[in-house]
Amino acid sequence: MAESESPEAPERGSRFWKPGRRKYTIGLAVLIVILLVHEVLKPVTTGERVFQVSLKLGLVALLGFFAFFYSPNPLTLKKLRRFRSIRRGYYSFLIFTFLFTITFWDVGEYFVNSRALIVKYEGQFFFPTHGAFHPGTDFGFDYQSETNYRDLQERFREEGEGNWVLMPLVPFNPYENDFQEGVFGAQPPDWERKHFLGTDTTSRDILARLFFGFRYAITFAVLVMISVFVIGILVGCAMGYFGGWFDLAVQRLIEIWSNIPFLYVVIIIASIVRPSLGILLGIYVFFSWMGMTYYMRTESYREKARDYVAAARTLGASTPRIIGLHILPNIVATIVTFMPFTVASAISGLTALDFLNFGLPVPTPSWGEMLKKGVENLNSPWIVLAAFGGLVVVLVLITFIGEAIREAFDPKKFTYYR
Amino acid sequence: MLSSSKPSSFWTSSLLIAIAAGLSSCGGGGGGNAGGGDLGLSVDELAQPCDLRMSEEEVREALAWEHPGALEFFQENSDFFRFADPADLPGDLSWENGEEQDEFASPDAIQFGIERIYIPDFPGTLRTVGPDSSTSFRGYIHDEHNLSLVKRHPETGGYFGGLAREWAISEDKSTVYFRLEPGAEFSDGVPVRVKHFFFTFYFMNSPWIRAPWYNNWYALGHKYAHLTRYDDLTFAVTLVDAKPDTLRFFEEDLFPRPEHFFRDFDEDYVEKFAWRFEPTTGPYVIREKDLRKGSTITQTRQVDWWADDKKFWRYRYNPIQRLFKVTRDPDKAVEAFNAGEYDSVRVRTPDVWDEKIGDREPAQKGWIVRAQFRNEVPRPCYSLRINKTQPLLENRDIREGIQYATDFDGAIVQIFRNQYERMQSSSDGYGEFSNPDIQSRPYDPEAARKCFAKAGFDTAGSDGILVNAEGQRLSFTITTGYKRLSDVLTVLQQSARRAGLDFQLEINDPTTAWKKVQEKKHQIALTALNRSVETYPRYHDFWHSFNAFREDGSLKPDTNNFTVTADPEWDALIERYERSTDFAEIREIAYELEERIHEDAAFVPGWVRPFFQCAYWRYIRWPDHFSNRLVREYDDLCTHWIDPDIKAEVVNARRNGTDLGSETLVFE
Repeated sequence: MAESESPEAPERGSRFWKPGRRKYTIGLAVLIVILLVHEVLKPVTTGERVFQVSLKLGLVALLGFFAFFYSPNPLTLKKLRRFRSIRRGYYSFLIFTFLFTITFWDVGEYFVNSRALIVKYEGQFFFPTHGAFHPGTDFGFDYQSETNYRDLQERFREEGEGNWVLMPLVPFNPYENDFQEGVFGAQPPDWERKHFLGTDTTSRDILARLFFGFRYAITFAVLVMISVFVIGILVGCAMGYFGGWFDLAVQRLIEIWSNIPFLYVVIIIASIVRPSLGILLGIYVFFSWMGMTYYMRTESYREKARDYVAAARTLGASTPRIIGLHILPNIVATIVTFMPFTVASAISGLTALDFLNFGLPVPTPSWGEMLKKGVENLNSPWIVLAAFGGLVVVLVLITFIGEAIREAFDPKKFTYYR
Repeated sequence: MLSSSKPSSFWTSSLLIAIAAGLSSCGGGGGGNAGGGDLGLSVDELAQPCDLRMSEEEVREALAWEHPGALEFFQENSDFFRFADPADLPGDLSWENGEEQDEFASPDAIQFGIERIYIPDFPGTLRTVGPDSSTSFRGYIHDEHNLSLVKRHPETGGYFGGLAREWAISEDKSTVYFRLEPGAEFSDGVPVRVKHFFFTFYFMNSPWIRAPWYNNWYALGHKYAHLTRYDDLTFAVTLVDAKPDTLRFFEEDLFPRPEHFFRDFDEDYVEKFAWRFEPTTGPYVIREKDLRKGSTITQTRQVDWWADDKKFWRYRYNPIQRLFKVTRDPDKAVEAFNAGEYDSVRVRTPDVWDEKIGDREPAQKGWIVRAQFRNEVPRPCYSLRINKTQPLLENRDIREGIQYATDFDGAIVQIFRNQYERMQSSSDGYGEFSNPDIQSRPYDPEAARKCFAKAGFDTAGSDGILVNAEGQRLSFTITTGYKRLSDVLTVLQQSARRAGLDFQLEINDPTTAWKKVQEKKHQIALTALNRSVETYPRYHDFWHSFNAFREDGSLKPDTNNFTVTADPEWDALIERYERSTDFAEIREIAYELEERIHEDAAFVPGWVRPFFQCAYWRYIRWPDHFSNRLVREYDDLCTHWIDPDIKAEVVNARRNGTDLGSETLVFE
């Protein structure tokens, strides 16, 4: 079916360098260059850098994978058109993409941060967001610790000497305690002080924590999705394609595997090591890869019997080639349909773990932790409302997207006759 | 995949060693070996020589105890269980009874009503010893509400009699002679006799109770050197180590155990006795029908309790019944209290005091009263303990910098709302034994930076954390098992950044954290070790090299020397301190050690809660002075009562929404 059915004449050029793909390639190259330059300029520790760079390159690689191997054929284009025509899903997708982009690693700091975007001080410009650390003494304060840019903005305004500070929309980072003298406990939303959603019990800005909590949740979810799909597709396709004893053996293995209690393992591991995003990811994937294999198994079992597979085999194509280039493109609908739901369940999973205290280490901003705090302090309802609201919005968005994708990829189209 | 059910057992959050906690029971068994001649010869160095002239039959008769195991046990250990004649009592003993002290309960008390009390979990057993028995509920059936030989007076710090009518301490402070109250009896009417104390040792040494801690504590010759029975009501206990405050031993340990109740004591003890209510010498009993597993337990007061007319026991334990009701979530329990389902609650945190009770209608309208009482007891010492064997932390300048960079002051203001106080030394709350000249170092980022600069950390990295010439970051991990203190830790973390110091937080499961700290694998530990049961601080556990290193120089696990302090001079001081029976000398050494600890800077004093707080419905009444200075929690003394008239008034006010005038009592 796939590419062979394309009515257009085969394009010229090498296998990976076809004129139609030039725009993707250039786009990706630009993205990679921006990322790398940004990373090099950014003063962070090596560990963080390795993590963040690999995360970004991974995403870029994923984009590239789809761009190169699945350049849209007319059928796919049709599906995409249909997806766009489903308004609810499409707008949810746009909103979600927007949220994903603005909270993304390094991007989010331009919107929510205690460091200023731009400082103009005595004729010089400073860009502290991802720049160097500036002790208070750099801007005429008498302390050695990091400049409080909110104070600085206030001071420049009072002095009126042409110095100015441009702060992000939310001028707080998710960790700092913005204590006020004589005021204790969580405070309700206060637009004056720019705590748009209030503060939690240790006077941290809720919007900032919500914002960066989303970053952690979505990073976790995307990574879970990728890992689960890679494992699920590999194992599932192999099961379906090879069949026989391999299929039987792996099925039994999966059955046994599925009976390991997830929560107990998490509790045990959390009692031994301090969980980090990586460890949680590992545990979560460890227990989630099985579901995908079954779908992939059935799909490739079915596709394997088709004539085009037989044809490919007759022509002498290798097994990886048959699975990767012939079968996989034909079952991509299943994969894509599952994506949003996997993301949604991973987000709720991480939130649940945090809620139960087995999640990300304190004081990482996390929705589960915020929910817990909110439930413990129901007399400060803005905490629980923010966390709950955020969770509902994101999960609803993802569900809408998922439904739209499922409908778009459904070969049956429901119409009404008038 | 994820169920919302909370993980089942959440091991008790206290990492503290239950130092106190003794239980025990009564001496059964006819132990005295007839052929006691050889035993009589073993005159030991601690005690008066005693004569073992009784025959086995006589002993059996005296103890009226037939349990074959117990009999054997006493025979095997006839060196420990001694039998003497009343005439053998030393003549120069000065008997005391503490009656000269003032009463602390109020004669206005009325015995009335049902008090409803909050418990967080339904107890897994009614046993007071053995698996699952250390629950908060045990306090209500044993520790606080069962009579010990003597009790500490909550105001003077002296002792008054419980089961003992009078007592005398030997010259060398190692032996205490007791005369039991003749009228003392268990709730099933059996009088308390010396044999019940003997039986305690048999019981506590039995493997059947499955309680290694007690097995160890009561191991013959471990803490107790021997017991001597003079007659049914008179006996003496000799301790292995003479202590200046010998009576302390008999306040929380060595309870008589009713041997008749344990007649079928055997290897099935743990299951067999799980739901049997052990006869108590205290006022409240649990009847079988009052035990509704999973939801409530009711205690009923004995009508003619034997101690009802004793000076220090009358006018106490006033509610006729006490109903214990489970609410699993502490926040919900507070709501239930506000809704009138409980009569009183402990208030443990400032947010409960202010918002969850104080701002609500019942408190605003005066139906609920809040009370705060400043007491004078040793506090759990919440503090950072710095492991001096870790890289960089062996440098005193860095440790001093950490002292200045740790913002307990800010945490006290913001998290504890200025209600708590900064701890000053490692031995706060011991009255005259706390060195008044030691002040903890205040939060001062600039001073901290100076100290760090001295240690070579003088340039700020890109994130503001100091680095030294070799590029090492000034970053340390704080290990703790207290999830509930995570707010405090985040404040410490953020404030420390201002001094260029990075704290990584490792908030683990309590057992894991405790293990890590005990193995000295931590860098900095946030711990709260329990106060000692003595009236003066302990140093050997925390500062002596014995608890730091093994003989081969490796770190010694399972000890509480979390700073890994090993200094011969300190050792000498501590050893002198341990041996001393003179309070003046003890105080002098304590002061000196406290100065050294301060100078050493490995102990960052945290905070103390200098009071207890409670909230109660207005109809609960208290003596005029409310409580006493040596009381740990508001209901420990049980001097409160329910006033029927005021109860009617409050019920009416609640129905009509009447404002009775909000009231908050603060006793300084």
